[in-house]
Amino acid sequence: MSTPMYNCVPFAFLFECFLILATFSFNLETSLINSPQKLTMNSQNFQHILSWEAGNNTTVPTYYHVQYIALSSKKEWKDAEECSNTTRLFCNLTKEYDDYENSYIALLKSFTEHGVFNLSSPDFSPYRATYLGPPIVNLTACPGCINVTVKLPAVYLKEKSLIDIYKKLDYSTTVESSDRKEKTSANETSEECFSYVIRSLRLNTNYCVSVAVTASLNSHSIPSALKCIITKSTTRKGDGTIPILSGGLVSFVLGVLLIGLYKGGFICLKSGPWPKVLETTNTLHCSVHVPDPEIVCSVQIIHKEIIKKEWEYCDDDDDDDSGSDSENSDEYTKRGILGRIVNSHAKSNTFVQQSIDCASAESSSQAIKLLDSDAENSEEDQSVIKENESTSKVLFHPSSEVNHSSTSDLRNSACFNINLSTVMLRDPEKTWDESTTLVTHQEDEVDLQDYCAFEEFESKPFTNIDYSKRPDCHNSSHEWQKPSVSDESDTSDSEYIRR
Amino acid sequence: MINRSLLPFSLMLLLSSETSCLDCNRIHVLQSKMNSKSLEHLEKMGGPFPFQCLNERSAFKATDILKVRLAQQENAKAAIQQILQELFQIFSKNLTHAAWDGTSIKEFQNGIHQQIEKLEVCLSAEVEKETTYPGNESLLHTSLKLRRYFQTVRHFLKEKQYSRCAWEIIRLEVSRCFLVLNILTKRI
Repeated sequence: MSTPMYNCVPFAFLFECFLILATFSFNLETSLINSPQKLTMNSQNFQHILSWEAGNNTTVPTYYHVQYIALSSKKEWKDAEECSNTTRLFCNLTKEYDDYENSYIALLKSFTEHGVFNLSSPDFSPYRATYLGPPIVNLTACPGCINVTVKLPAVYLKEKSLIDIYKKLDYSTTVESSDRKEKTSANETSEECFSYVIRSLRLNTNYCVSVAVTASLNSHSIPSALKCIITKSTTRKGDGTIPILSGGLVSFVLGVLLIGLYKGGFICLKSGPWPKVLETTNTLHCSVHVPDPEIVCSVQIIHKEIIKKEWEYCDDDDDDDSGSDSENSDEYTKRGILGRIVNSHAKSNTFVQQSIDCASAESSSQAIKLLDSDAENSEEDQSVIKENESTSKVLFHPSSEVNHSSTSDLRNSACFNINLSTVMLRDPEKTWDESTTLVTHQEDEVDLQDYCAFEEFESKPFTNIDYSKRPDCHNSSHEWQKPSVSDESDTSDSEYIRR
Repeated sequence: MINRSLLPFSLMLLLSSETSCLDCNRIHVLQSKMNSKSLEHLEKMGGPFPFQCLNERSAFKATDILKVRLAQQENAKAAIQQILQELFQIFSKNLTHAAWDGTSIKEFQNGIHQQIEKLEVCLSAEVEKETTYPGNESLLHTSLKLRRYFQTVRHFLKEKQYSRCAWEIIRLEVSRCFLVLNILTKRI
C-alpha cells in the first residue's frame, strides 16, 4: 500500500513540471507570434519607409513606437515623429534620415497586451542602400535608330538632386526586340536630363527600351518600365517629294527668267538683218582711209645769226651769273639764254626763207652784211628775241620791228659754221673737261630740251641728252640716246652753247 | 635548359605587361571600381552594429573625415594615396577581438594593397610636378589633417586595446573614409 504512493509522487512532480513548461512555452510562442515580424526598409530615391507585419494574435490593438539612431554621430536614440503610438504597420523615416552619408538603426517598439517587444533593423546607409530610379524615358524613332531622352527622378531630400549627391551616375540601356535582348552599360552622365541615340537597329522593327541608373558606391537601381517604339524605314520615300518640288520650282523660275529675257530682247532666237551702217564693218579692215599725201616743199635753210644780240644776252647774263650766288638761278638763266639762242636760231633756221649761205664762221662782217642786206630784202620775217619775255615763246614779228632791232644788233653778228663734234659743253661751275663734247651733254641742256620741245622746236641735237652727269638734282640717271648730230643744222647752234 | 629559363622569363613578361598596361588616364575608373569592392568587403566582415557598443561611440574624438577640407584636383592623388596607406596600416593590426570574417578581411587587405600599387605607378610621374606646384601649401594642409585623423584612430584602438567595440566603431569610420575616397577619385 505504501509503494503505490511512492510511485505517484515522482509522476506528479513530473506532470507538474510538464505543465509549467507547457504553459511557459505556450506563452513564449504567443509572445513570438504576437511580436511584429519582418522589419523591412523600403528606400527609393531617398524616401525611406520602414514596414513590418503585425503579430497573429491581435485581439487588442498594438501600438508601435519607432526610434532611430545615427551611428556615426554621438547622439542618442531619437523618436520618429509620425510613428509614436501608431497602429500603422509602416513608418516614413525620410525626414529622420536626413544625413544621407550616415548609417542608421531603427528600433521598433510594439506595445501589446503581452508586453513590449523590441525589434531593430540592420544598419542602413541611405547613400549606399537607397534604390535609384526609375528614370523617366522618352523615345523617338529615326531610321534604324532610336533617340532616347532620360530624365532622372526627383529625390526626397530638401533642395537636392541625384547629381548633387552622387556627382556622376552610370546608366545602362536594355534593348529588347522580338528575338533578342541587349544591354549596354558603362555610360556616365552628370546631367539631370540627357539624351542619346541607339544605333545599328533594324528598320521598321519594334523595339522596347529600358534604362537603369546606378552610382559608383550604390549599385541598387530600379529600371524604367519597358517602352516600345517602331524604328523608321528609309528616308527615301517620305522625303522624295521635297526634291521633286524644289526641282520643279527651280525649273519654273528658270523658264520665267528665260521668257522674260527673250521678251526683253536680250536673247534672240533668229538673227535679223544687219543695219546698213554695220554692213560696212566687214569691209572696214580693207578700206583704210589713206590720207592725201603730204605736199613736201623743199626749203632751203638760211642761217641768220643775230650774233651780237645773242652775245649781248650772253654777256648780260654772264654778268648776272657772276653776280648771283645760287646755282639754280645761274642755270636757269643759262638755260634761258640757251633757249633763246636756240629758239631764235631755230626759228631763223626754219622760217627764214631767204637763204643765206653761211660760208665761213669767221667772216662775221660778211654775215652782218648779209644779214643787213637780207633784212632789207627779206620778205619773210625773222624771229625776234624778246628780252623780257619768257623764252619759251618765240613770236613772229613783222619784219619792220625785227629790222629795227635786229639791224643794229646784227651789226656785230656773224655767221658761223660750227662742227658740233668739236663743240665743248660744260657746267660753268666745273672746270673744263675737254673730253665732254657735245656728244656727251651736260645738265644745262636738259632743261633746254624742255624749253625747245614746248615750242614745236625740233631740237634734234638736244633730244638725245645724256643726263648721267647731272649733279645734285637727280640720283637716277636718265638714259637718253646719244645725240645724233647733224652737222648742217647744228653747227651754228652749238657755237652759242659754248661759253 | 632553355625551358627552365623561359618559364620565369615569360612569367616576368606577363607580370610586367600587366603593370605596364596600366592606363593612367583611366586610373579613376579603376580606382572607383576597387573602392566599391573594398567597401563591400568591409561590410561583409561583420554583422550589424552591436547595441552594446553604442555607448562607446562618444569615446572616439576625431573630427569627421567628411568635414575635412579636401584637396583640389591636383592634390587628390596624393590624398588618396595617403588614406589608402593609412587604412592598410590599420588593418594590419590585431583583429582577433573583432571576430570578423577572416576571408573578407584578407580580401579587403589585398584590395587596398592593389589600389596602393596601381596608384603609385601613376603618381610617381607627378611627384616632381607637385612639389613645385603653387598649391603645395594646400596639399600639406590636407596631408596634415589626414595624418591627425588617422593618428586619432590608431590612438583610439590602442586605448581600447583593440576591443570588439573599438573595432566596430573604427569600421564605421573606415566606411566613411571610402565615401571621401570616392569623392577624391572622381576628381582625378
